[in-house]
Amino acid sequence: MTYCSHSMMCVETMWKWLHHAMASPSYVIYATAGVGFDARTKEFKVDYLDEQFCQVEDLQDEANPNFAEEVVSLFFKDSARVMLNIEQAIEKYPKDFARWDAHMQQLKGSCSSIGASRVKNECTSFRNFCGEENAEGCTRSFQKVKREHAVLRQKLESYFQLLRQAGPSGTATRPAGK
Amino acid sequence: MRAVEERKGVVPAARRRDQFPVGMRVLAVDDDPVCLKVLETLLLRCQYHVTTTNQAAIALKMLRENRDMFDLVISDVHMPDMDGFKLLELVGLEMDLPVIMLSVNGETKTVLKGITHGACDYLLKPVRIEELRNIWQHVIRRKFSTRDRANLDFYEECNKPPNADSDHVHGHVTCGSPDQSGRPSKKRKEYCSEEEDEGEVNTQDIDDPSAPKKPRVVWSVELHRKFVAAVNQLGIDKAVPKRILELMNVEKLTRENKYRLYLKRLSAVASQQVSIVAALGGRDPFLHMGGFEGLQGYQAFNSSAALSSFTPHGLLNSPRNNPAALGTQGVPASKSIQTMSGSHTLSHPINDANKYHLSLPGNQKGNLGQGLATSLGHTQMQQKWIHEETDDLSTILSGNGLSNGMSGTLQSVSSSPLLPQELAECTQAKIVSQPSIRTSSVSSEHIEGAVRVSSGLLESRVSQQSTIPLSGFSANELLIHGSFNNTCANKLGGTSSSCAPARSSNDLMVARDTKGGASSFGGAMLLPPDTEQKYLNFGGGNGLKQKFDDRTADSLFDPKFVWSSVPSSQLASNIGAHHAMSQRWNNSSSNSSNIGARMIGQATSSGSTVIPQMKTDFLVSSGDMLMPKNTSDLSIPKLQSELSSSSCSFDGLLNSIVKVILSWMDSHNDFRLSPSDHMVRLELIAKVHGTSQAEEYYRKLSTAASKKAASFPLLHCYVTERNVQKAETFMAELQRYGLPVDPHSFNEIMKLYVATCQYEKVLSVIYLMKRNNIPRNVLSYNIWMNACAEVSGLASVQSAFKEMLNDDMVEVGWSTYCTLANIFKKYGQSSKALACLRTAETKLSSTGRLGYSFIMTCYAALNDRDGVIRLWEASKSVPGRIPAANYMTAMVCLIKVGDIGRAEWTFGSWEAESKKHDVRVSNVLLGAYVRNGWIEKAERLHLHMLEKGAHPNYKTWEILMEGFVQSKQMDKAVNAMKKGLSLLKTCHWRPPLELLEAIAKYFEEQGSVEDADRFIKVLQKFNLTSLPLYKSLLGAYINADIVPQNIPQMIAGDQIDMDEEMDQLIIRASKIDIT
Repeated sequence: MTYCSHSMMCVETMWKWLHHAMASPSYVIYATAGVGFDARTKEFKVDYLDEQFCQVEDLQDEANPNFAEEVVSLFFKDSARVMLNIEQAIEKYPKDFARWDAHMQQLKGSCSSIGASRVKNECTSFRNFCGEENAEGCTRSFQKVKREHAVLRQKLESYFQLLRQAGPSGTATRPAGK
Repeated sequence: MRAVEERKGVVPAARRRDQFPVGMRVLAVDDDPVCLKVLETLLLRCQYHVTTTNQAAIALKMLRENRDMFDLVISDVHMPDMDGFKLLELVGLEMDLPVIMLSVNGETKTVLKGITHGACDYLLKPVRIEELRNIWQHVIRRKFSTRDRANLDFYEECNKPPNADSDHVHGHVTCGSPDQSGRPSKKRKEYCSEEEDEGEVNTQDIDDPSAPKKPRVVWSVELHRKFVAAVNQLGIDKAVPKRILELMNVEKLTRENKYRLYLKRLSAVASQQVSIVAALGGRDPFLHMGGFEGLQGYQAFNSSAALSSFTPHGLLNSPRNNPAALGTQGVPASKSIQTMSGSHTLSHPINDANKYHLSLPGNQKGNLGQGLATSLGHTQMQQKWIHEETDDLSTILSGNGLSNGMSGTLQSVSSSPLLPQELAECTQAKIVSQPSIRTSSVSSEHIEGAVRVSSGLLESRVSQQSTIPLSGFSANELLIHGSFNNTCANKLGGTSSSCAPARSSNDLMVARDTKGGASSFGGAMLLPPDTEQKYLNFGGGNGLKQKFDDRTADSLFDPKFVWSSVPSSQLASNIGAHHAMSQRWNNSSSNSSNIGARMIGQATSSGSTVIPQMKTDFLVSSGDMLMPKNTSDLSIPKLQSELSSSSCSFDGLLNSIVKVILSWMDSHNDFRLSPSDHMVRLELIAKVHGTSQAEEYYRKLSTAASKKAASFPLLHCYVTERNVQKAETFMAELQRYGLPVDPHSFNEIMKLYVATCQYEKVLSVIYLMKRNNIPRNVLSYNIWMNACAEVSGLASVQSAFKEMLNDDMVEVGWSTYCTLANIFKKYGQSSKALACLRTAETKLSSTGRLGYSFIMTCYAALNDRDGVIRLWEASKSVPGRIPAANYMTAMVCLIKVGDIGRAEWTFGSWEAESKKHDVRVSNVLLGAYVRNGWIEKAERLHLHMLEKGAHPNYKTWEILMEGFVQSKQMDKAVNAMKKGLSLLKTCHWRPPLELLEAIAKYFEEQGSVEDADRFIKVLQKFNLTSLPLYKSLLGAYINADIVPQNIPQMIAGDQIDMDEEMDQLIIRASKIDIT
């Protein structure tokens, strides 16, 4: 059952999820077919993104046809800044785990907002290392965050590229009737 | 960098006003631009008016400057310039605005902090649009402290598709902030032209870019109701999506899968019904179906639509089954049906098991408590559901059905066969005695303290002959925990003004001690303020005297039975025993509640027919010195309430009683209510004043302990109302106050999901329970397995079962094996099902009959005659007298497996053993005869029972009526109908339409105008006429070549709408006139 994939959720989210997930069209699409119009994108989406990304895509409409791409580029712009902050914090304030954690929380928030699940998971493990006061773990984890971030950036760029080629409506807006 | 941005969904101001929550003004604060942007867009999607800022300080400034400009604030928790909590606090201090906190961090500590700082909600990132669609409720909560109908309207509004308005969609473009909305659309044009220029072909070419995005409809409870109502109205075969949509008349609703799925489910049920019938080996499905169900079967044919017919029977069965503590009649039937349609089936065995376990000697207190709690839930549910049912149900209930069920219930508690007889006797006196025991209260308190035993009972006597509907009642006074001394002696005011007479009858305890209380009703109102007695009795009636002889004692509790497992001298064990008792009792009701639940789910009738269900709770503290140490005393609260069989005002009676109690409680503010008192009180309020009042009461509770205690009944209200949304919200709220560590609330919500066919959610709940280390009890596992069977397949059921086996906290009992058996049966694996039942048999103990009867019904459902016989014989090892209900169960099972001979034999042994002649037992056999077309045999049996002094109930007449119709003895059929009607003139029982039409048809064919005329006249009195009946009448005139007199006037008088065919018939009939 799909609920297993939500193991990271806490109780409250769980309830909310219970409440809404089943009704959400993007959930349905996500759970049934994946979103992509093409096997490649589908695979990539399932691997790197979660249903929040579907929701973001769902927010595209006539008035806002490129919403997903805009949000994603905003994300990369902002997350680069946040990651720079983290890097500096790790250098400047060694072992100031609270500070690191606060920064990372921000990054995690952004990630979750666009559904960048892999980066988000890495953020979570970073924060866990913070909780354990494991500086080395943090550094290692941060490297992974950067790596995931870079991979995602590349993937998303080509994804949007593909979309653009696919046409104005792209997969971005949910095909009517599905 | 933008500091403040304002955008709004473009909705004309006027519309905004009447379309709450459209245009609700939301201030969103988040320092993270990505989150903020997504959040903003989501909010706009919800058609709110959105203002955003990325700085808390600016937000605060805006709020201070324009207090009235916002309805709601959503704020991130972590912001560099000001902590979200700080903002929250300031907003809370300075203005009364609901604030929703938002964070990626969902640790309980942080969430709690948000709540303690006054956040009305705490959302986790990423936020989902569904969550945001609901946030308007916080505004409403703030604004209307008293909940009224308005809320509902709002609720409906909220469920409208957010994008329903295409203006709005375009509005985005024009109104959006220029830098965003302008550019993108341009970009898109570019893409378009690019594509055109290059002639590129894509995978995407299917999509029409100009097609407006489909508005989405959230399938809400409201919609669901409408849908179900529409399906019911149309009848299942005619319920095509288009027609449903027309009927539902909901904007923008399209034929989504949901409907189809639902329809499929419904038709599965319907066809299942038929196939069961077939499976039962009947030549005539109708007959066999009936046979299967026993008495109630008849009811099933009342309504023409498969669906609706299903409902009544299910419901009917339920009360009955329970009592037998083994839901025999109903269970097998409904089970098999359910098997197909859903996991509902589970519930009975589960609950039963649950309770059953509790009553086992070896179990710990904790378990007992649990069981109690669960069972309580069921009880309430049942009642609630029953209340919701329509006339069909009330018919049944108010008639003997009710008393049957009830007495059965009692029996299952007391394991004494006498009650039904008692009933019969009462009937004779035109009084139906309706014992209703009710255990109230639940919650972990029970487990912890094991101190409280509550069992409510209300004694009421109403004379039927009395013209005053409420002639009186006697009620146990409320014993309040901790304050069981004199404070409790109170006066309950007379409930009916016109009925003065009341005299205290013997108090219950005395009655118990003497093994027979005589209650007499006399003249003037007399309040027995004797505190020591702790009773208030309201006698009523016109000098009616009701005596209970020694036999009464029998009909009460058989101490040996219950206590056998428990040493009677110990206090703790006393309690345990009590639990056991209440469980037993509740068992019965739980069956019905579950069945009822789903029946209603499918057949929804929202009518709030009133069922006479009396309830008063009284709490007895086990430390109470007044509590008899002798367990048998304890266990024998006299459970007698009588009311006129015809009284549909019973509910009124109940209400007034409870109201009196409540107002009395109000006027005695001087004693402090303990948390459990609050709980009981909330239950009462919910019962009498409705859920909204209960909510109100809950909101006003000040201490956490009280809230905790009172939460279960409130949750229960939601569950019984099938208000998924509220229940979920409430559950989430509860969790914020500290997770409920007991499985009951979770079970409750799972039951809700089962009742609403949301099996996936059951799995999620289980998952949640696991994650939070909430122990699961037998019921949880059983529900789980059923949900697995529903959602995935046998493999998942088996893994759930494996998990259960590995769980040290639960003991796998017969209920679970029965559950498994049902699942196997559903998957067509009869041999495995039988193996499960075999195992279940090994788990039985001779302390109760419930398990035997239950498994027996399972065997019956599998058509295993040997199993039925084996179980019936084995159940005789249970000490004590066999209650009539158990005889009935056995007979029904035997009839079902086709062994009428043995059923007759069983009937004979019942007759030999019983002193009284409970017509319900003979009805079982009578039904079997009629369904087999043996009308002579049926008549003989009927006469035999009459000779013995039995008093036929409406069911008897209905069965006979059917038999006579079959054998074309219409005079007798009409007579039987008249007798049935005269028995219950003021009650809701009505003869089945099919039979009426069959009779009318017969007269039509015979052209017997006089008979037909007389027939219609009888029906007119009871408002039973219908168009088809009039058509038959006209047909009779036509066939007899007689010109009808003023039939159109009669039709108009009965307020029946004419149709074309009728018009033609009238013309045809009057043509004769012309010629």
